[in-house]
Formats: sequence, C-alpha cells, structure tokens
Amino acid sequence: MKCRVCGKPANINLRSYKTALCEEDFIAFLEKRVSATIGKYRLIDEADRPIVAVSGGKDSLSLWYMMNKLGYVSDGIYIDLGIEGYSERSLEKVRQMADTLRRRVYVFHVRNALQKGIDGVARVIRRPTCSACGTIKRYIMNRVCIDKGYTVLATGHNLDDEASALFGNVLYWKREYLWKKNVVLEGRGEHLVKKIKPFFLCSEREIAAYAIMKGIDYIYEECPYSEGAKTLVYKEMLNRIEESSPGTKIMFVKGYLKMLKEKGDEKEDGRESRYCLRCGYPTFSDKCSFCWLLDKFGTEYDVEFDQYN
Amino acid sequence: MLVYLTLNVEHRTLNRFPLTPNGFFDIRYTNYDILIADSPDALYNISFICYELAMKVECEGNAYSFEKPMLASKLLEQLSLSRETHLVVVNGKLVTEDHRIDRDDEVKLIRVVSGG
Repeated sequence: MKCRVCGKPANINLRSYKTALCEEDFIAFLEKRVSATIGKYRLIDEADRPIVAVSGGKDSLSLWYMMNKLGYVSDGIYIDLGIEGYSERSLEKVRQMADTLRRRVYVFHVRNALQKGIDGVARVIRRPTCSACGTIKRYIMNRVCIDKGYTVLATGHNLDDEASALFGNVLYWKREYLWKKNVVLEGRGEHLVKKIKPFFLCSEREIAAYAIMKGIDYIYEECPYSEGAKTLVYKEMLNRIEESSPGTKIMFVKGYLKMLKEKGDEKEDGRESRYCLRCGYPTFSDKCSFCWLLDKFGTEYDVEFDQYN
Repeated sequence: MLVYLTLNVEHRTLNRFPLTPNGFFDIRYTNYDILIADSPDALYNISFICYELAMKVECEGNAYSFEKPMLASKLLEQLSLSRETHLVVVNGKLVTEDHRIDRDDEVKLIRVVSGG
C-alpha cells in the first residue's frame, strides 16, 4: 500500500477514509482534524487556560502532547486512585510526559484524602468502583480548574468511547443521558468549568497509531476494574460492524451531532440548577455528591494537590 | 526410507534455500547440521523450518513464533484478531495489512481498545 499523499510505503490504512498514509502524512492528517475540531466547535479561545485530564493511557497522553504541539499550551491533572501497582505505573508515564513537555502536572491522591484506595472508598459508600471513581474524578478535575484558574478542561474521550456510550444509550433508550454528550459542554460561571473533547472524531486506532509514531510511552495495561465493563462489549460489537462496513462509527457519531444540533437547546429535564452549599459544585440537592462522600468518611478534608514540575 | 543430508551452512543461507515448487516436505532436523526427510526426493524438494529465525510475535504479554514469512493480515487472521482492534508494529514501525513480515522480524501486535 502506498501513501496517498507522497507515494511512499504507507504505515496505516484508514478504511473509513478510503485512504492509506505514511507516518509523516498521517500525523499531519490527524493533527489537522483535531485542529479543525477545536476550531469548528470553538473549544479553546485565545484567552483560555486549558488543562488536560491525564491518566497515563494513550488517549490522554496523546491529547496532552498534541495540544501543546498545536500551540494550546496546557498543564495536566492526574488523579491517583490508589490502585496498587497500576496507579504508580500510570503516574510514572504522566511524569515522563510532563518532563518531555516541560509542563506542570497536578496530582490528587485519593489515599491522602480518604485513607483508602478507590475500591475501599467504593465499599464504604456501597457503590460500584467505577461509580465512585467517576464521582471523584468529575469533582476533582473541576475543582483543580476552579482553584488554580484554568478555564477549559480537556479530556481524551475518543470516537470509540462516544460511539459505544451512544450505542448503550440507544440500546436501552436512556433518554436522560442520550442527548447530553457533546464535543463541548459549556461551564457555569465559577461553579463548573467548560469541558472539551478534542478527540471526539478520532478513533482509538488512529490515536494509538499516533502514540506509536510519536514514541509516546503510555500504559498498555487496563484498569483492573474495567474488566467485564459493558462499554468494552459495545466497542467490540461496533468494531465488528466497522470491519465489514468501514466508516460506520464516524457516521454514527457525526449523525448524532447533526441531530443534536437540529434539536437545539431544548432542556431535557426541567430541574433548576442548584449548587452545593459547601463547595459550590452543581447538584440537585443542598450537598454535592463529593461533599456527601466526604461526610460518609466523616472527614473535614480540604482538597489539596501535589504539584510536579 | 530416510535420507540423511549434512549441511554446514550459516543460518542465513539455510533460510534462503530454494523452496519446493510442488508443496512441502515434512522435514525435521535435530540440529543445524543434519536433516532428516522421509523421501529420496527430499534432495530436490526441501523446504526448511529454521527455528532460530522464526518470526517473533508479541501480543498482550504473550509471545508467539511463526515459522513462515507472511502478510500482516494473515498474521492477524491466524491469531483471530481484527485489524480494527490491533495494530501491527514490525521492527518498531507501524505497517499496513499488506506488509510482508519476514522470519527475522520482530513483531508487536498492539491492542487499541481500552477503557470501561
């Protein structure tokens, strides 16, 4: 196979784009798409101070690397979930990238805050591990932006993440979640920071290829709690469809975005916005889920971050 | 009838010995010097399995070795992997499905699906 741009031997075949590209041209192709996404959906303004939520995996590290390369100078936030072995190894990868980019990374240690790893936390509040992890991550990522003055939070969610979540929401007709996904989720003043997903239209395969080509050293291991997750089954299914009909995933997600735009700003739930009386985070009651979690632990802990670089 | 054939050649030469035009012989050999085949035609129709030069494949912590050179797509097929979920890296470089992998290549298959 030859590169469609320069004719040299191709390094990747992109069946959904009916093209094959060499390393150099693929990197330019993917960076251009991310740049276009940032521009089209107005993800980052010139005055913005972006921060990237990093986990040590291919998506977040590639995003952090690419944003800095594209001129969107950004620091990182890493949440140490206290998972033995896995958390230390992923933090190491994050530190390496921070050194390469010469950017700062904030680290929040769940163990310092709650004296337990994420599985222990989940047991105390009697919720599944991934649910406890989600609550903490969403809160802390928002909190670092508010406390440290970042105006945009970028996450490495990719096309496959979005397609599989959408697939799940459609399969079970989860109307309360169905129309909530977007490339950008606007903030709410000093309560909630704007969230962006520059890789919304980039597949996992493309991002992994980018990481390999750029020599980005990421953690190959999976989070031990992700085993048996439903989204992995959906991803597998979608990839099987993609194998026989290339381009299905991107059509699915682009079609969703188009319908979302047509739908406009109709509010799905009529509930008014309320904010946590203690910390100001959006909530449906007087206390946000994170402050509720702290109460369960009987701790008056104030959120603190370690800084690296 | 068994034919014993003694060869004193380097691995490389062994590897490039002409292949049979009409298929394979089941040839087993105990070391690099002695070949044992079960037909006199073996003298003319020899295909070698050179274990030292087997293609080394690493995938999700497992190591495999393959004796014949093959296309990247064929390798994925043999391991029942999809080209949508696995990338093929040969000697540190990403390759397309139609790339022919040689026996002395180092291959890594990288799973791209992650998260829960």
